Amino acid sequence: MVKTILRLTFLLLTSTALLFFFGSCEMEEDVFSDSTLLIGKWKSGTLYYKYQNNGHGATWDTSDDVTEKEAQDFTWTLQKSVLTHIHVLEMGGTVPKVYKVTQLTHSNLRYEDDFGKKFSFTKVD
Amino acid sequence: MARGLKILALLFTVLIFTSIFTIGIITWWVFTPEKITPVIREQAAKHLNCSTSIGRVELTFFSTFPDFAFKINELQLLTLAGAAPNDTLLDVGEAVLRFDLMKLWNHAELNIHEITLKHGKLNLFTDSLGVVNYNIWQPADPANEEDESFSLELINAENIILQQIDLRYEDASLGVKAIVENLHAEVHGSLKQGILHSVLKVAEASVSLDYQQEEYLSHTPTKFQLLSSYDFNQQHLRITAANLQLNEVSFTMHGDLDLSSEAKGAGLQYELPEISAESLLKLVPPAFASFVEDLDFAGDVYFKGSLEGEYSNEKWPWIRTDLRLRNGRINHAILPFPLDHAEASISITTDFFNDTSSFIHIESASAVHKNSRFQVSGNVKDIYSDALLELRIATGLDLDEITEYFPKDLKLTASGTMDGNLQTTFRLSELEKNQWEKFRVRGNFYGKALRMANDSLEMRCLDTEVRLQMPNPKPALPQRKFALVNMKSGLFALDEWKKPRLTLQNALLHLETSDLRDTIVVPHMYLSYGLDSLGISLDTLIYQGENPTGTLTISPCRQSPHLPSIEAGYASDKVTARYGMITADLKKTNLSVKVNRDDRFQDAFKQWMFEGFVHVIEGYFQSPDFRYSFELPVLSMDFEPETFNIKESHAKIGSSDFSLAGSFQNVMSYFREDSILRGTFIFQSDTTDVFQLMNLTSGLGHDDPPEDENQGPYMVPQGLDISLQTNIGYARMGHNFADHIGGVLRVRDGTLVLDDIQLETPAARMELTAMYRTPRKNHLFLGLDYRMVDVEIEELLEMIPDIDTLMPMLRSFKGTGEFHIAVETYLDSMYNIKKSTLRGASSITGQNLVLMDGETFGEIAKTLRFNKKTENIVDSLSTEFTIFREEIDIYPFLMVMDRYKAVIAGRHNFDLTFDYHVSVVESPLPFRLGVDIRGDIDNLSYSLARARYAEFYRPTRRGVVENRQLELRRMIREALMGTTRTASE
Repeated sequence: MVKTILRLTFLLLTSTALLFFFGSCEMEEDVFSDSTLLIGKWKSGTLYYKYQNNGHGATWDTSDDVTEKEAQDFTWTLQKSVLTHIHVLEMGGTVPKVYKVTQLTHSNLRYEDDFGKKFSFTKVD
Repeated sequence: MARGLKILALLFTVLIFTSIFTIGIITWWVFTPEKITPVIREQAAKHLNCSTSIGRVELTFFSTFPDFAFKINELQLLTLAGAAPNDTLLDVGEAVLRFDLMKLWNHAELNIHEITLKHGKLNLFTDSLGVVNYNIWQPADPANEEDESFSLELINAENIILQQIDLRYEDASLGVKAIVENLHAEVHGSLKQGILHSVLKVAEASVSLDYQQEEYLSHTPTKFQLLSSYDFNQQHLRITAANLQLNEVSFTMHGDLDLSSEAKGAGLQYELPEISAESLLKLVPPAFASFVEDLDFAGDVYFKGSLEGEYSNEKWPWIRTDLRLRNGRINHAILPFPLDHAEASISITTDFFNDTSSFIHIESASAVHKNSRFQVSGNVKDIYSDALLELRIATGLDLDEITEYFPKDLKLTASGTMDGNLQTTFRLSELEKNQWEKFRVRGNFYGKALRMANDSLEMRCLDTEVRLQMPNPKPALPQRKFALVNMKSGLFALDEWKKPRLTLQNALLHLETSDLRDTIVVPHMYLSYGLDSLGISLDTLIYQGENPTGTLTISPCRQSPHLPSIEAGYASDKVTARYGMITADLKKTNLSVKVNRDDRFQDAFKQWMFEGFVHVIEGYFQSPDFRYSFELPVLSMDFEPETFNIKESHAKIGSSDFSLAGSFQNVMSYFREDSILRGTFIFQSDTTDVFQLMNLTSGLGHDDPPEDENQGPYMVPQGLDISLQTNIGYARMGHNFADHIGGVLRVRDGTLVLDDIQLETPAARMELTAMYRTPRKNHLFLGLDYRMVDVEIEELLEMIPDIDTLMPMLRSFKGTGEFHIAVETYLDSMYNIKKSTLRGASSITGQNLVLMDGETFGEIAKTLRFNKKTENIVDSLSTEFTIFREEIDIYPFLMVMDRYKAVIAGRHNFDLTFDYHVSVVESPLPFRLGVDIRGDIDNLSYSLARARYAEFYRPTRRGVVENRQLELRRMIREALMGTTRTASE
């Protein structure tokens, strides 16, 4: 019994220590304040994203026989490194997707989501 | 006694010889020509005011016994009176003047009672001023009358004899010129008590006659006899008998003439005894010969008539002539065929001036041509102005006989008989001007076994009766007064190339019409009809109807009189129709349609505007384009150019049966491409096969509709805005089915919307709102708002296997839950989801679910020390997730089981990999525990982690689906109002 209590106590202390450890390891976020770099058409394989300076955008995938004219709309915001896509469905409603931008230049865009999925785009115009 | 007689005879003989001797001495030795001729010449010069040439004159007795006579050789009378073409009045070889010897002896008066002229010519002339050349008598000089020792009286001549005299008479004032050659004539007369009794006999003459420079007779052999008396006091001429023979034609006449200036009158009877028509034709003046030169006219002709009444320069007596023709034969170029056995009885009454007293009465005129007959009777009035003909015509035609006279190029053959009776009244000017609208016609025609055919067409008509009336005596509208036609036909058939085109059985037709000849003006016409059967075969159209009845009305459109307005009514019992490979069988049909034409449109179809109704009972349709059978037990529909109102309809199409009621709007505007077609209907059905009905409507209005509705995706009709309020008892969609479906289905210009459809399946009660749009075949939009209440999760996964992909954990549960998904995506032509376009949100809730995997549960229950060891019940489950492309984000949800509460969240990918986090927020343990689960179903990795979610966590995303549902429905409404953005925008 005592042995069990000692083990549990050890586990709690260890867990507390880990919580403090993980809690104190938050990384400092990058800041991408120049959102104009985002304006334009970005391509990743057959997937396209197009950002407009009015906060609207559109996305399409040519592998599914979808043209730019048939692209689906979304709105976007970039706050610090958080890029938020609010996908506007044709029938109404939205689906939010939140990404963390890791690189934004005139020709490259990289971001990832909370599940570690990474995205990389190159600007096409 | 005998001696006395001998003495008397002797004395008589002596007297005779003495007389002869004395006369011989007188004629041969006393009054010799040498003595008489100068005397005659002297007297001629004294009494005549013309030049004379008298040859030799001798006194004769024996040759002129018992009269004495002067026989003059070579007598000529020459005069230049008037403007005579020559100066010879008389030139004869011999003239014999018989005279009364006693008057000459006692009174020195030469009383000539007989004049004979032989071998010469007589020229009589009247110039344009009325001056004659035969007024040769010197007027009496009263001063010398007492000294006159000798007088000449020719007026008392009782006999005038002309032998071989050529008589020429010319009257310039009347335009008459007559030449009588080789005239042999005698005139005998006697004057008693002021009455001249005379006999004129022209034994032989050849007559030529011109009138107004038109030749009427040319060397016509002529004979003439006249027995008459003339009362000088009463100035009354009585013709006891007159007979004029021209050629072989003989006229007779008798009667009276009053010639007094106060009261001229006539009462003459004349007759032309029966003669041959050929003889009569010979009397036709040469000037008119051209009219009869092609006339073949034979038969016996008979004239009889009278001339009665007063007359003057301004007035003629009445002439009445009765004409009869017997056994005649007539042929002329204007006749289509010769006529035989012509019979006629015609009377003509005229005063040559007045229509009121002049008319022609045709008592009967008939003729036959082989077995065909013609008969005419009636009257002709107003013959001097505008002749009015009142005729009754009867015909009996044998068409087979008449066919040979049709133009050969028509290649027309005919047979059968057509009998007709026609009464008609019209004026000649109306006929000349084709003013049929002024005709009055009433006729009946009966046809038996009629058949007419040419190379390609054959018309057969059995037992047909046609009644014609012009004008229409009782028109429903004044404009239809032109004609009324009623027709009754036992059988009417029209074949083309031996194939039936039109067949009417026992047809009754009633037609009222205006004049149809003016093809520019829209006619007024009304036709009603009834038949035992009607058959039509035109190209690929075959129609057979039993007991069809109907009406057809054509009239000018009120707003645009130059355009027609057509009303038609049609009702029929059993109808069998075929158009190409499309067939229709109808038990009863009732159709009424009014058609107006609007010529503002170029397209012929768009010019016609329809309104009316159609009623069909027990219709059955088949077509190779119909994959399914099509029955129409009832259809009752009103229609007008913009609206089709289906009042009642029941249909069976394939496995579906339904009733449809409602209306189409903007129909004509739709076809004129001015508007989309709108419609609102109530759709009630016991059984509906959704896919079958979708196949029927796929591609309507598209530029490239699918050739086969079974291939390719369902293309929502374009140009339509149709709303169906549905109430379906049983619906089948492929292998799935549902009960008690209710809601609104709407199709609008390529978009199909199911709005709040309520339906029940064995697995769940469902509410469905959906949108399906087909901008192109390989890009099909599908949006769903799908709520299933009390759904059996096992059945749900069976119905929608894709949910297993989205939420694989559901496979572990059994029980009843509530599923709600709102999702939209684009599909390819094979209905495969274009995953890059997939977006959506869903929620699943359940209470007291059973965990299916007993071994796993047992292991879990054992590990976690569940109290309910024998039951694997999940107390509650409530989860929501969103879908974006191939990512399914599971929003944190709380699951309660036994003494444990856990919050679960994560991501699930379409490739069946996942990344979950589980926070155990309530358990027998004194602390909270977190577990991360990653990998795929075959290769899971567990790792402890910090519990991300605290106790009593309430998912922050709860309510997303509800909000989305509200927005979805709002957007559906906006889409239906035309505000939904299209994919191309």
